[in-house]
Amino acid sequence: MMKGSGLFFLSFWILGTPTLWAQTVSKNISVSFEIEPVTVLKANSESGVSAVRLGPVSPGTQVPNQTLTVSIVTNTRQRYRVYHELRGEVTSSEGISFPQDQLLFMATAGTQGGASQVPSFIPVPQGEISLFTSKSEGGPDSFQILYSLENKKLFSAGLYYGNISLDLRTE
Amino acid sequence: MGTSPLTFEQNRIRNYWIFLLLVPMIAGGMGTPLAGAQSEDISLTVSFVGGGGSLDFGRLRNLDENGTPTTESSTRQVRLVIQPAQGSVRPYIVTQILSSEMTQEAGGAAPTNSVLFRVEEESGSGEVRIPNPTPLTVGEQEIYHSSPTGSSSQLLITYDLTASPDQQAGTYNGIIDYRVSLT
Repeated sequence: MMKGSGLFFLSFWILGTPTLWAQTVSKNISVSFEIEPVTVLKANSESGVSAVRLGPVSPGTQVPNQTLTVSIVTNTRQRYRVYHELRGEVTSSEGISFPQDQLLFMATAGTQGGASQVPSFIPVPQGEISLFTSKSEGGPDSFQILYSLENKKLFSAGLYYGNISLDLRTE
Repeated sequence: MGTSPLTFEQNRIRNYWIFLLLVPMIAGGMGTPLAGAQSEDISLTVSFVGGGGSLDFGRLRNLDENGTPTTESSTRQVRLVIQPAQGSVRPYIVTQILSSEMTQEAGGAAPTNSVLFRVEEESGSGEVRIPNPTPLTVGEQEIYHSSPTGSSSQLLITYDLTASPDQQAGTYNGIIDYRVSLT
């Protein structure tokens, strides 16, 4: 009798199991898209153009500093560095070179955490120099480059020109 | 030649085993809901409108060449065809599941609301269960309830992706799961 009762209970369990009712089907799909990386460096003087104009210069007179505001707009999160390059000498239309040690510059820290590599005035070197590094995660930032004339020497009269290049490179 | 009490007990046990084996087979052959659940499968077919094997929105820009924020967008569509087994009268629910945020290589997540979707019933007599459009969010979203009798249906899901101006560059990936459950 005990064996018979056990078998009856077992048959009830098989017929009544709720797992037979659950019916589910699923499928998955991959989703993807790409946001194009863009990094733009802009440099504007106080007059709104990409040029720095110092002077006119009178011997022995302090010339106001000129400021170039550099803005980096980017959607990347890579650390970067901004290089300053004075291409060739600053020369007059008569071909006279401006004394290199009389043109000074410095860079401020970034408004978003970047660091200046030239935090105080030094003579602008010919060629390339590291000027600014972003914070470790990169991102947009802005800083200023200040140019100054020592004006402690007597310069030859004339209009002097030079070319400056700013270059941003990710690390 | 009489049957001994011991032999009688053995016969009873054998009869029960026969009962156990036969009942599910007989019930299944009659097509009752109880045993018919074994064959009451429902099929789900997923296809991409315009072809392809994935929901690829392509390449978008959120900054133009001057660094000015721009909001490019892209639209893709997926079609779901739900076909209950013949004779089935059980209603079903369609659920869309985004198990985790869509992220790019560096782990940056796509902003909430960057993907909106809407569901359109192309055929069937059920009910779309979301407001159109709805943000694609992490978790489960019940998007459709079938008719009470569980008739077949065809759904067109349209996804609109908008590149957010503050979104990191990179390739974002994610998985969307569609689940059809008989209720």
